[in-house]
Amino acid sequence: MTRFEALLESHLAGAPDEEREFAGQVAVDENRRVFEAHRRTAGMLAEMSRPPLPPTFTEEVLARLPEHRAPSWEALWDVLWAPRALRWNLGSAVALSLVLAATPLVWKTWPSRPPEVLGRRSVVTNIRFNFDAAGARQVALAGDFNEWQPDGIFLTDTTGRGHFSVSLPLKPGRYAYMFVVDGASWVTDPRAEAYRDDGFGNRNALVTIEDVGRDHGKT
Amino acid sequence: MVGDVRYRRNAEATRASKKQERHGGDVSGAERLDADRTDEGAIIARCLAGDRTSYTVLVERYKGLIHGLVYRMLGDAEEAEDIAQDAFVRAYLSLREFRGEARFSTWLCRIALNRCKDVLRRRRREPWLPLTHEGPGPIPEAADDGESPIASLGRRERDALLHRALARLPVKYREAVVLRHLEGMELTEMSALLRIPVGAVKVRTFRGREMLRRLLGREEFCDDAI
Repeated sequence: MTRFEALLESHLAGAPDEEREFAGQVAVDENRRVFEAHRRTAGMLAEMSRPPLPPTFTEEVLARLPEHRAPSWEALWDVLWAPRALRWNLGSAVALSLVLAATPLVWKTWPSRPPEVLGRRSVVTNIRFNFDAAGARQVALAGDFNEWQPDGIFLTDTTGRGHFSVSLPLKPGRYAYMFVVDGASWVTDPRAEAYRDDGFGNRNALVTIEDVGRDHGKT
Repeated sequence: MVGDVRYRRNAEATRASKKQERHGGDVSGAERLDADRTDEGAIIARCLAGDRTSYTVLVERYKGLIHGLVYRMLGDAEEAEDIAQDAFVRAYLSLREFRGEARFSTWLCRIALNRCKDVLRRRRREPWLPLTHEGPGPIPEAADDGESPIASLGRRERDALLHRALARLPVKYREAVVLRHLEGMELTEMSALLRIPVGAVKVRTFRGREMLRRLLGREEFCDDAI
């Protein structure tokens, strides 16, 4: 846009700020012709008659307004629960059927998560319990994790020299436990990390699970 | 320059009377608009409180402006009526979003223009949708303002030609020309409405009018005016 065109536009808009400059430029013949042409076009536009308005215009607008402006929670309720007409065609119906049919297949074949991710997400930790009991035929483990049942978890002597052990998956927490030798003797783990009184004059061994995903050695 | 001074005085007087005439006597000038702006706040508050009938005042005040704008943008009388009504309904439903930073009329015009652009976009996708062109119509027996039937026919023919030429302008130039010259909007108000700088408003208005002038020239319309 040239300077003269900008001045012309301001002049036609009735802006008085740059009238002096405009008067100088419009004195040039070419500018004068452009100005006259635009002025006449603007004049014709201003003379255009307005389209007739229907007499019922306002009434029709009011008839289209909702009865009551609903509060926002009502509007939300409407969005969620208002019945809506569903428009469909054969193509969209076939596409939807294919999606529904493929969903179980995709679910089954979806690759499982990597083991390390599982390990990190799992809160279970494998804890190995070891107990030396030379000459013992059977060693069991009882504690908070199995309701202190003396015949639920048995340690095995894999060496044949009385080194009993068992690995137990435990969730993080603090557990009290004892070994049960030959189903009769309750023995406190001599190498436990901590102890507490059992209320009957003995001490229970304690194990605390903090970390995840690793097979710790325990006593 | 005496002629220019006379022209400017006449132009200002014509603009003022045109504006009043265009709005059917509803808006009589800038002072009235400012006063309207004050009472419009109260009207909008009543509407928001659920008083639908208060909205009648706003519809009556701006129906000429909005209907004219939509009609000139779309070029179709029936569709213009429907879209103009739709703009009022949408404005009512969105009243809470009106923050009063601009005039209510500016905000309303923006809603109407957006609706027009939706329609024009749809037309591009549906090219078979007809765009009706106004013809000059039958020769009137007598014009309302006492002008002769021949003069009235001449005016109607001219309006029809202008209407057709406007419909051929690109939308951004058409809206600028319509707002500036048919609705008599100020440059600053157009800037607020179209959300472009005043300089860009001037460019669009000038170029739109220039295109219109060339189109009318091709129609061999009113040789002395081109």
